[in-house]
Amino acid sequence: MSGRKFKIAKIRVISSVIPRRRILLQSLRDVYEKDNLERIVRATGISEIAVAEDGMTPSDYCAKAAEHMFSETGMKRENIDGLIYVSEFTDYLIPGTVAPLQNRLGLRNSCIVFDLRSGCPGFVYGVFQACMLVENGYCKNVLLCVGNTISKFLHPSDRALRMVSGDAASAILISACEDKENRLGKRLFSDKEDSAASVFDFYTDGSGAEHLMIPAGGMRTPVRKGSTDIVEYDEDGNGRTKENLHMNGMEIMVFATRVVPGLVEAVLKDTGWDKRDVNLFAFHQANKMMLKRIGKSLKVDNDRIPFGVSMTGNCGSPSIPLMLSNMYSGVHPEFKKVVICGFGAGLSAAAGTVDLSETIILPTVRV
Amino acid sequence: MTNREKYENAFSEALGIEPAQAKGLEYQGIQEWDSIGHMELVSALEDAFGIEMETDDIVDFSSYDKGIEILSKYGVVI
Repeated sequence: MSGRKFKIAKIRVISSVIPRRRILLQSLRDVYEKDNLERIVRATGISEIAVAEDGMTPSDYCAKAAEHMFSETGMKRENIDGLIYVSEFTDYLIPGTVAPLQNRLGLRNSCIVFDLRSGCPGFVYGVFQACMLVENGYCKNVLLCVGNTISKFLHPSDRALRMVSGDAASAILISACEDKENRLGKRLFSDKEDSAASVFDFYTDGSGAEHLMIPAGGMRTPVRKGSTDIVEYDEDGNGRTKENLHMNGMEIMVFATRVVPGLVEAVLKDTGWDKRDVNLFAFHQANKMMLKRIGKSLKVDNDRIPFGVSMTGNCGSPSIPLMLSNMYSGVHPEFKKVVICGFGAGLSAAAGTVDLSETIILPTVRV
Repeated sequence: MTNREKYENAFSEALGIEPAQAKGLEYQGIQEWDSIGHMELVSALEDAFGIEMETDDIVDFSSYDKGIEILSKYGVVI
């Protein structure tokens, strides 16, 4: 059951960056035979992976995405009054990542700032939180930073995850559409009464947490030499230690196909939108095959469920804004009714309805 | 083409093996029938027989023989 509709908060700008470093999957013949490699590339739709440089964290890439947004749009950083940092990974154990990021970006001290620890559903959770800050009047301009460098937690012998997992970051500006003070060039949100309202719905089943997990390195199982760094192989022959990301691909697939169609139907019903009128279903970019499966269950043609990370890989929480930056740079007045849905680690899923018809989508840049 | 030929061709198309190699196969019994291969196989079967498999059936589809049993629920006799 969803709460009230958000009518004021709108996604105003999307800026995405990926690392310069990249791996062509054809070069991974050491872990997969040629035929298998081609089969997997065909099924997942991913042929290239963006990989973070050594020493770079998700917040480093988020900062670059935010700086790119400031320079390209002319948005003044002193007008940012909220900062949300979404990632599975934190720069330090203490403090959270968001405070140093506020300082690095030169945002004002009165900003509301917080970390939001989330994986693949993180972008939708972040948009939801930003909308709440705007709708209740605490903020006019929230900067949502969503970053992921999962490549640092993949074992070299993990064939399944090395083939699909990439690194990226996005900075998203969520503003009050009634705010007249912040012009971005000549662009300003209209006050059209038919502007679509946003609604969000959520689903979590923690009984499946182990299916997408890095078991060691947290408080429950600290990293211990000779214990957490021993390589074990699963039924598919993927090698991982407890310090690496573990994924049970079939369980994730089952979760997504069971939960996502129902969640999307629910958020459409709560918003009062007809599925046929939705311009775009911007879903978490897990892989091409999974989106095809979800589309089939939803009875929505694949043209409206785009897959746009073939040159970057599944980048987790930033995958939805990254897909938009990869495929739809510019302004798209036709994106009046867009459904966003993230799903994965938790196991968790989140869906929302948004109006992107006046959103400036910047093209992805390599940094 | 018989239903059995269609069935084995789906294995061939999805897993990149010869149709004759399909008989007796089990999920994760060969490298090609991993989770990605499994979903490719489900799609190939759905296309071949014009059906849409329930999620429970996708999960239960653990072998060549089990697949034949599941398809019978959809009126497909192999």
